[in-house]
Amino acid sequence: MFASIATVMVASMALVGCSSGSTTAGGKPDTSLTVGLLATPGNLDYTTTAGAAIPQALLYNVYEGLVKLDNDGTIIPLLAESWTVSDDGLVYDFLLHDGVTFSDGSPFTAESVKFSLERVKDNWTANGPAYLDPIASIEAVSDTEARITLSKPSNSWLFNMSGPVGTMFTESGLADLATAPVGTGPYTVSSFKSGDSLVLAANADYWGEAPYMTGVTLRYFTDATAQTNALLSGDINLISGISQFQLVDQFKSNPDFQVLEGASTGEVTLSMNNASDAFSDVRVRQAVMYAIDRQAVMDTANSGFGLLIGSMVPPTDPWYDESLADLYPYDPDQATDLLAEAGVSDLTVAFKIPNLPYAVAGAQVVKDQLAKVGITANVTALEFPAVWLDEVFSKHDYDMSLIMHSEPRDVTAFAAPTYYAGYDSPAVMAKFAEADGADATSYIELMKEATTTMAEEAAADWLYLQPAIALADADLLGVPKNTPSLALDLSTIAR
Amino acid sequence: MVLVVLRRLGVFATTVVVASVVTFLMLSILPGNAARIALGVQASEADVAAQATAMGLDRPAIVRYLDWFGNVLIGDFGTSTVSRQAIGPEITDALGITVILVLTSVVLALLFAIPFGILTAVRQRKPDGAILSGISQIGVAVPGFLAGMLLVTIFAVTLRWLPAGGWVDPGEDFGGFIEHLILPAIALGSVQGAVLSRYVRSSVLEVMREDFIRTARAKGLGAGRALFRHGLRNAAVPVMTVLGLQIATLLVGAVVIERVFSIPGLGSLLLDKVALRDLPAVQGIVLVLVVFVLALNFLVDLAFTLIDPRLRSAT
Amino acid sequence: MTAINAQIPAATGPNPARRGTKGGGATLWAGLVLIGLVLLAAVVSLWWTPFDPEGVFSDSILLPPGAQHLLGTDSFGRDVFSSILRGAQISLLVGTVAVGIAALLGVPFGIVAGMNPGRLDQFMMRGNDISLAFPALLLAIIFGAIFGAGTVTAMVALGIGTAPAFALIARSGTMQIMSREYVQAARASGKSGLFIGVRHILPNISGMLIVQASVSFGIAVLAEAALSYLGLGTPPPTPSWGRMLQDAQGYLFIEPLLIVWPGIAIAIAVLGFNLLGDGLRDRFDPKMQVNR
Repeated sequence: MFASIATVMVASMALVGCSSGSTTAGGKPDTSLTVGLLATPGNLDYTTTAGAAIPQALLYNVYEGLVKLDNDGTIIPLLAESWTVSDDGLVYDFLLHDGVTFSDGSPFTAESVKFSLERVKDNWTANGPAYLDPIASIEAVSDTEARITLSKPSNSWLFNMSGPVGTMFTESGLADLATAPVGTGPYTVSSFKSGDSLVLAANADYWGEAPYMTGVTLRYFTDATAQTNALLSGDINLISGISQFQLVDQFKSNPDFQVLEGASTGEVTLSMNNASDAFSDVRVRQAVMYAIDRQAVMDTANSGFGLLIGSMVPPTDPWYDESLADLYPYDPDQATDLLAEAGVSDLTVAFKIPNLPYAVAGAQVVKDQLAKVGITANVTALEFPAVWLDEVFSKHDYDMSLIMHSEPRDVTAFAAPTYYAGYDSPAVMAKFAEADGADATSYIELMKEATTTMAEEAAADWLYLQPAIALADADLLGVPKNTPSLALDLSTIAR
Repeated sequence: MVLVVLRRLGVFATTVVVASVVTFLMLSILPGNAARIALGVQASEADVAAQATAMGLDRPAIVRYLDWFGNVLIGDFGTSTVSRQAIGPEITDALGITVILVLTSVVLALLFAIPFGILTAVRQRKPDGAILSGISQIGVAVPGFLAGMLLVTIFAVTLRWLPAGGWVDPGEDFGGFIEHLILPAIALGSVQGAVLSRYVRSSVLEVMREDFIRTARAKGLGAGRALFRHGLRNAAVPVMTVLGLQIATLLVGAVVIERVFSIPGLGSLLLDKVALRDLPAVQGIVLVLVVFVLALNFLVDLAFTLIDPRLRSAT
Repeated sequence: MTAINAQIPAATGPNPARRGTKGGGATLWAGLVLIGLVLLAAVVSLWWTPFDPEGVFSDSILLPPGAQHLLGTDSFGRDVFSSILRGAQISLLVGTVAVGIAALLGVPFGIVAGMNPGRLDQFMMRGNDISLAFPALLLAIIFGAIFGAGTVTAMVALGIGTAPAFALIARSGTMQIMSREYVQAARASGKSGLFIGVRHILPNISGMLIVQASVSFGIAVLAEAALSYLGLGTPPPTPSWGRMLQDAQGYLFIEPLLIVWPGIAIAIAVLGFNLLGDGLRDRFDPKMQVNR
């Protein structure tokens, strides 16, 4: 792997003198990096503004928590050097790194932990403040020792602490969260222009190992073609998470670039409104499962990229069950039989999709396949996010939709009866609750049972898992392959 | 004279107020809840309602209008509900970028259109004139963004001579600024150039039939010299009128090229803000665009009135 | 980009050189032939296309042009030739409806203003100035957000955005006709304004209106493409040339011809209407031409 990249690197440097992906004239390593991303943050405050764009840019780069997820999805220490958990699973004792400061110079101590986490309940409105509900009390035992006591054991709590809600703030750094974030991370924000770019500079006083890249520019694009054009023309060095996969092939055959394929947490979901007249009958939902040729959807709408999962669980979660992908094989006859059994004929459904490329493409294939079993899907592409969120997500005014759920471990949220899917199974909810409080082995077992039940009852048709594909200059090393969390961790990237 | 100008100014002010009301009313029926977009899918309905109150979304329309337009008049466009920054500077930055892009493309268009239009007019009965005229007709018929895509593919992606997109502030790095400006300005200017050259051609043809040119030619001057000596100034008037209108409408029209080249201009800002339902920002941008056009028309009108007294009683 | 021109009456400019000759001849015919091609495609595709342009064919994705698929297939396995044929329908529909709305709104408005010089005219023209300040593309973006993007929204926005141009032309035409003797006579004999407008004015300004309609038609076809590029045009699976262009952009390096076909189709249609407009302009009385 390394050898081949090195060879390619030499070749590409000879060929592409003008690209920024080469060593500078003086022989000093080039430590500047430009990354192309889609979906710009509107501001930089993820405590009150939703959307994956802000954590993508800031989490682990500017902001840090006690723990983080490594690229394989394992919880590893970050600001906490280590931690212990009491036998009853209620008391977490964190030993914190000493000598850590925020980028405004104020010290990070156990008091910061108490301040930051207590602030979540009252001041956060976005990015899941409820994730910290299990916390009963937070105590600063000493400057470097923080004790967090939970009201009930929770397996998901520490995982969630690796996300935005676990971020450490300092009171003096809250003045302008929207444009001037203050964190303990390896980078600081030097400029931000919504819709255009976010420039990060290495934090000279970083407590940990300094990152290789000293200046990182995140550039925001509105479509994937402009993004790949920018990479091809040398304007940018890296695209993390390409969204239109037909654009990938041209890079595979080009020695100037590398293509990294990893796992994401984005389940592309054909959601059926379980509470609607059309889909309240489990047999009708199962008919849809048999009517859809998921491989064909993936081949046509996603250029064949992706992984058939059959449930809302990606392979990076411990309760992943690969056999679920074959639970409902493509079988239109079975679908027709189920529809007849349910007494449904001439079913017409309102298929309201977001106006995003993958959804628009996927919906055309789904519509075509549903027509073959006698289901008419009236496709309407709603403006995303504004109208789709309002009509489908908030008002549940739809029969069928198609959208990617990209949050890690979002299956429990999906099962809630108030959620837009309208899936109402007290048994599954009870099992999730039981799982969260169970010991490590039962946790996995119970999660597996609950998610399997959801798949069997066809709560939705999880079409496929979106791959995480990074396209990069051939000389870049340490580009994160997977996206187990919302963050784009820049600290490992080098040349 | 002063009276005429004052009266015109009064009418202009009235149209601006009416345009602001139209803008406000049109945008007040935008569907989608800005509060929900800000808070995202996990927030509860109660949180969303509280957020809506905090954003001032639940006040009566007339209060919101007066509050908004009153502040606009003193130069305060309000605070973005998304970026939580003052909207004014955001609009000025984006407007500056678009104006640079549009003016550059118009200059390029003129550099092309004037000689090309004159040539096709002078040579109109010759085969080469007809061929050139045909080329400009085809130029008019090609979508501008297609020209942009092809330029990117050839000069940025394949040859790697120029960047594929983005924008660099001229004060920051002038060379980079020029590099980033070339392709979008050509893409925007080529189609405008084709359109303008049609106008130049017909104006020149019109002028060439005028008596003074005929006289000049009768005196033995060649067609070209007669035209250059007497005709071009007359031909320029209708072309300038068209040009003024084009600049005004290009401000929003440039959005397609801005998208192709990922340029953070005013049109792009509008699309972004509409998507985020950032109402104060959208209102501000639309108002700026509309007033810009009204002001341009007003100035053109005023200039013509002052130059040609006969027009003072008309229009 | 393209909608801009909607604001400028007579986008290709008058062609006075040919005044006095038979007028328009070759240009007119060239325009008619090109439009005829587009019309033929639209009509034929009502009943027949080689393949279904709206289905999904997973086994024939991105085939190069060949005997079976004349222009190849796209990423959904759809026959591009069939889509081009069917796409002519959308282009003609958008053009017809947009120009229709523009004429219906703009022409009566302009005639009324032109027949009532003075305060009413002044007032109406200021109103027209305001609507001129909302270009078609701006309206399309706002309407798209309010009513949802789609063919209907795009057509209405283009129609309303083009209406002021029609109003200006109708008004200045009307003002010229009003001074003619027969109009003066009709007025003296006590004929109503409506009668004069419909009987004397409309027929006499119809020539220049047709020219404007033809040019606006071409602009509408271009504008539909631009709107589709911005995601504000015709939603799939209905084939539209503009959206085909946008889809093809992602396949530029895999199948570059995909971008060529809809590009040519658009150019043919727009060129056809522009040439027709030029030709008609030469044929009708050139004195009726107005340069605003």
